Amino acid sequence: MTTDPRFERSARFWLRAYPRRWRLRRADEMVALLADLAAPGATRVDVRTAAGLVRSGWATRARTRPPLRHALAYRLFDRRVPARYRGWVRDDLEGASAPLRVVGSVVLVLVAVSVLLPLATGDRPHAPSWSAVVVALGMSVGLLSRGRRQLQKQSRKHLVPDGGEEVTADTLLFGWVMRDRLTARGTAGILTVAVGVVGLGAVAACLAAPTRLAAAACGDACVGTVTVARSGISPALLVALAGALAVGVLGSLLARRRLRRLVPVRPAQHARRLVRPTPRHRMLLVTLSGCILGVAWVEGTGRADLFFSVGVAAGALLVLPALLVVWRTSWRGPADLALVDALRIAFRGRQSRVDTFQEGLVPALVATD
Amino acid sequence: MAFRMSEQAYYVLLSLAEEPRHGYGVVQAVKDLSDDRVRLGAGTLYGILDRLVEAGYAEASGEVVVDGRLRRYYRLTRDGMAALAAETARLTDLASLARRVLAARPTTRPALGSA
Repeated sequence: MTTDPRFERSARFWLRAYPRRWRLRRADEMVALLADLAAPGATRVDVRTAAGLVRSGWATRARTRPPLRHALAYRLFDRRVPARYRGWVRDDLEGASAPLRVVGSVVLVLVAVSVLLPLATGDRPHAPSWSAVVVALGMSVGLLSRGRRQLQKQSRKHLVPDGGEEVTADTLLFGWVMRDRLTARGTAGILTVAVGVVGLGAVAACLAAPTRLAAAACGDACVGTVTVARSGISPALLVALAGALAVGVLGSLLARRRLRRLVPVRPAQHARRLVRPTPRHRMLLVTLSGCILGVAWVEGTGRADLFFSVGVAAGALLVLPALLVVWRTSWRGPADLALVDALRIAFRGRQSRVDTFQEGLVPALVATD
Repeated sequence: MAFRMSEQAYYVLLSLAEEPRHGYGVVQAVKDLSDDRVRLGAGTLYGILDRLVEAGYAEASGEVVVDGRLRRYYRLTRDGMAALAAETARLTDLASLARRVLAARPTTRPALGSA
């Protein structure tokens, strides 16, 4: 009798009370045990068991967490923790909430600067200014986009053992690892939706903006920017956007032909591992889209002159049709198609290079039983 | 870190001393050993198993998949056997002490004073 998928979903949900390092090792057998203990035909974990799991999960977290002084030294001064807590550090670096923590710490800095700093100097606390919000979003995008390299750097520092140190199940050593690539099937959709939403916002800003930025001569060899009032969309802008869309549609026809021709003859990728987008990718996309939509809103409502959104609108109209074709191919095409393959074929008409193994961190101990 | 020997942990050690068992096997064995008195929940069992493994008293000894369910077996290590023997000796001493105290007790209750 196999486990009911609904029951398994429920069990895995409640097992989230346990730390990630524990789940990676034990979740499967725990789900099996829960299924064995549950009443026949149960589709979810009962309340009593769920409460027990939450209690035990948090007890496990508390038991395996480093003492406060080590945790603070790690958090504030980037110091290594003793070897037995390395699993905790690994979770901290690789866990699903790691990118949330990045954005959270940026927000914390913002709050500290706008509330705590004025309080300390005797001023009244003020709401974060728009420019501060923009800086925070920019910082978030920067930190999130560094993700993989940053993770590698952090892992080298915090997870690799010193000489003579005892090797545990959480110890990592340098080795050759496969190159991670995002799947086309899991990623093309959210990418297309994000570009679509951003493009829509930018087009709306182009339609609604009451003023625009223009260049004006101000004497010999002098060009300055001036604010020009506008009512509705100008014919020149309309032509430009329509032109971008037309070029985009033509490009998408070309992309479709390229995908049809080149996707079936892709080179074999033996050093590649296909992954679905992580929370970091999603958060990066959401933050970046948020930034661009924020600018569109600022320009569309006249708080700033229309400038940036014109480029965004034209760019989005240019690539959106081809992205839709890529999305369609991702669903209908082979399951092992990577996003980078699909985009490279669609936009450049070339196959992507064959991935090679890279230096990375691998578990020092491999289970043999 | 010293291992805290609760009654439940003692039962788990006992059940593993008989033979290597998987999680569900331990729950069943403990239920039988205790005459249906001790019923381990999944969270409690794995809390104990984790502590046993951390203390070096038990170790994983292989896994099989039965009907799509993963069963990982655990067995006692030599340290675990020794800890079980030590705890059993302690309980035996305690029980004999209790017997001695109870046997030495006068059969009639002494008067505690006039009411």
